[in-house]
Amino acid sequence: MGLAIDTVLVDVHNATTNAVTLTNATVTNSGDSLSIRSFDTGAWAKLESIFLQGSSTEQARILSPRLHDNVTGLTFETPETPSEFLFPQEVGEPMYSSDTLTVQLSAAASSDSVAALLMYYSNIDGVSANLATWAQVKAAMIHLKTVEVAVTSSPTIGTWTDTVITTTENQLKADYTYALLGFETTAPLCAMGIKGPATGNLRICAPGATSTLDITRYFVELGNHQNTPHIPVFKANDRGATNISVAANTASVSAHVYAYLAQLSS
Amino acid sequence: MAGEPVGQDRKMSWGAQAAFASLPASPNQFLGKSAAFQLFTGRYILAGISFSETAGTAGVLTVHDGQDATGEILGVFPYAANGGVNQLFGVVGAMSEIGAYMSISAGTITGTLLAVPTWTYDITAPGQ
Repeated sequence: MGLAIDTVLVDVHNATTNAVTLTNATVTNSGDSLSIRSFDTGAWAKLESIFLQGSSTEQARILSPRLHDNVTGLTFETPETPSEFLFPQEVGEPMYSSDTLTVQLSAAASSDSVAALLMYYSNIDGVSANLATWAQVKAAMIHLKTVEVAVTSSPTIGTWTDTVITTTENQLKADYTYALLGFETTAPLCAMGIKGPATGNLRICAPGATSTLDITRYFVELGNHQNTPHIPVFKANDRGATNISVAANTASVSAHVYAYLAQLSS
Repeated sequence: MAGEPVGQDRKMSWGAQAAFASLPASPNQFLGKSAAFQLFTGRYILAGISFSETAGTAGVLTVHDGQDATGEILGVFPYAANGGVNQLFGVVGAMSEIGAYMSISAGTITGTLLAVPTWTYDITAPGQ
């Protein structure tokens, strides 16, 4: 039992030649779930961010009877695509065990809109992600290392693509641990993240924006602002099972994703 | 909610749940529904239901404690064409352990299911 961060991917596929207003998004392609994972008394969970990618200025809405209201709930609309900080980084919305969210997205004509929800759990069964604070990483950091991973998002929109972190280069040093500070990408994606043994095989994602500001240090900043450990730490020896996960609102987006890693002394 | 909030309380005592049942219930609305749907999931104390039929077709709403129509039946509410139902569930309400799944036999209904969620954070307002 332990910490976990999970990213839930939803999409709305608009096959019509007209734009659609807010429509219930599905997790059919991603295989994720909009049900909050069950946790025991004393634990807690929060929704920390939503990353939205559409073909134009799109709306996203999150609904649940357990949110502020179940009418407009949390509604966002931005021309920024992919969106980066629809949630202020200091903020998390409390989630309730076993509650089920409804996520709605608008979509332009003949296009897809996708969104990724970043969930933080203080303690759930079966998962204990290896997460650190910036203070812990800073104290043990030897080198900064950027690792390029050439990725191509799925041809089926709304589906995650996992690409092993050694696909493009394999320079991580055996027996060391590495902390993931953030990312950069050469092409816009909805989300990019890490998935592997250290994360309980859940995806821990950042917005897939091409801007470097705050994306290259996304997990550092999020942890500092939330005052909880958010920096994934993995063993180099697990590299063969550690993946970079991406998703986009168009099919087969090719990008070079760079993982910003801190090599740790212990 | 930055930092580490006080954890959620889910398994409250029966006495505490009885006290919760006396709290004002929250609305859980449903709009223009003509097919079965999941209204919410989790443990709630149901306090009442209010809805009207708008398509001119009589039918029956069956509320199940579950995530599909195999869930235990919490209530059965027949309604007339363009009619309505307003029903309170007594002083202590009715417990939904899994959630509220709403089966609609015919027609289109709009209304709300009044319920008190029984798992809370220290910051959760009473009845919310």
